[in-house]
Amino acid sequence: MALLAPVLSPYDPEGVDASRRLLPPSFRHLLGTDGFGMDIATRILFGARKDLLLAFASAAPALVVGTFLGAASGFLGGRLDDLLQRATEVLQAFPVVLFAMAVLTALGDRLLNLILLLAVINVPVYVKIARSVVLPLRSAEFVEAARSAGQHGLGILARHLLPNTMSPALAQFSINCAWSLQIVSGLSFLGLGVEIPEPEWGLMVQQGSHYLVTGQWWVSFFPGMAIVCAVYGFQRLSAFLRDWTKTG
Amino acid sequence: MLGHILRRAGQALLVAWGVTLLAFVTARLLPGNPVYLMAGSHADERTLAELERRHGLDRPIVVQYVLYLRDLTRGDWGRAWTTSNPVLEDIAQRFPATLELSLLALAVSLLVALPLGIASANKPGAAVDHFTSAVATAGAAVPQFWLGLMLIYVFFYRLQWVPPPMGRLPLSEAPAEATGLLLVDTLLAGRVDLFWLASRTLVLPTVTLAFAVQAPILSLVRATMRETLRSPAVLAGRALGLRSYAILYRRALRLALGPIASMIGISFGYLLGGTVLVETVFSWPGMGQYALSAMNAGDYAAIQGVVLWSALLYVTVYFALDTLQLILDPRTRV
Repeated sequence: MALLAPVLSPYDPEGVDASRRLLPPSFRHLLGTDGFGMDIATRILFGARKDLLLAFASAAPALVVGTFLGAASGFLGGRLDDLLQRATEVLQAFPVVLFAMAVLTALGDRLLNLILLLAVINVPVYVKIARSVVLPLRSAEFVEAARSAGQHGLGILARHLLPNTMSPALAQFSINCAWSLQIVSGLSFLGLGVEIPEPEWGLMVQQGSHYLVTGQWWVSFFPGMAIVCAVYGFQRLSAFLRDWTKTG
Repeated sequence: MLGHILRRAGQALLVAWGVTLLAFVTARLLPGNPVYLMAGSHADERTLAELERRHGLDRPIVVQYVLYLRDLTRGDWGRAWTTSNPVLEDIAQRFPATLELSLLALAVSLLVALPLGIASANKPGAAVDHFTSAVATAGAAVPQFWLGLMLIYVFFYRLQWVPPPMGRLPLSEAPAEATGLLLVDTLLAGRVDLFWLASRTLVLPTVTLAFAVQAPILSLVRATMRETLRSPAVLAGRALGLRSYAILYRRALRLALGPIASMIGISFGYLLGGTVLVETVFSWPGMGQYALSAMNAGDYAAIQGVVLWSALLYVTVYFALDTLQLILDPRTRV
């Protein structure tokens, strides 16, 4: 749906038309129009591209870095392990939205910064998951076998241990996408990251919030529903991935 | 026992130290001169030079960090130029609003999550169970800011059951401050009318927050209770002919209490730092609003203060719960 946005939608996502302001849902504008006369259905479709891309972009680097760090930490143990555990605890102590606000205030409010920040915040989860998978496997038979065959520690880690972390990590990845999506839309609701008039769901909800007390509910309602559906979709996907990798 | 507590305290201190380190690093190792961030964009040359000297920014970075720590422990968290008050004073003034909201939201979500979770674990596959999983899923999927807005639309605009979303009881009407929690203060002052007014403003933000917070608690209660219901202690209780409510509440719940307690700690920590969105929606004059206006004005000292405060509070709450668990549950003393 998101990929086909330009085909599916007859309107320009940033096209302003003062004569069509705040029209309620109808056949011409399925989900109504907003305060600038922009078609909401169109903007939701285009917003899907932006939101889903942002969610993937911020969850993917965390998946890679986090699983590797976690696996290494569980495999090697000792100092590195202790250090990483404490570091993740520190990172988790920070309230996400506030922390993001602070960092973006300091670093400058740019999308790239936002993505990097979310990626960093997402890392600990994967560290934890990969570590918990690798830890009991550290002295498993196939690891011992590889070792006695003269394989290098890093080789064992990459070839024999990392694949084991993939199925829980992938299930988590989907959950993380959902989570990132919520944070991104929340921050843009606060005015961070994405700028008007770009179509982004959180921002669209924010724009609609002025019209709620005058009765135009559809401006906020539909973009919010889009977030709900996307997040729910990611959750279902995660559950599916978990079951699928278990049986497969 | 004491040794265990001390060790946890040591870990908590270590984490707290890490928190300050991270806050320091984000503040100082950024491109650009940190005094601009501290003083804001309107400061003149003299103020900047003065600030640079006062904060020792011409010294090596390690010395700077030590100075920063010294300032923090002395209670000097910098000055917010948007309000021209010391940051810590600003926080102290706004914290009760956030605390009141967080406590209420936590209480409400526990009132929902505990009974529902237990009931659903007791009857897997029954209607209660399906209902529970729907509630938990919805709580996790619905964005707070949107839910808040929709509640405003329905209950303020349509039904007019609640006052407009304009924050707390105005300070001019509030009774003399004792705790800063308006529900407590109004009762202490014997003003039942104000108590009702204050609670009416609290209803929607509380429900909004609670709806999000109940989700992880509910899922956890359900999962751990299911597990403990299959544990030997519970099976033995069944075999001995204990009645089922006795098993549920006396044995199983006690066994499941550990993980639930730490989840409550996490949720509370989350609430104290995670109310920004809901505070924005309801114009609630708490820490989140403060951080937001600081952010919009580029007032770095203020926003850093709020972040640091929430993170340290989280560490404290978490440590306190950990300790409590050590005392209550001998199994955790390893």
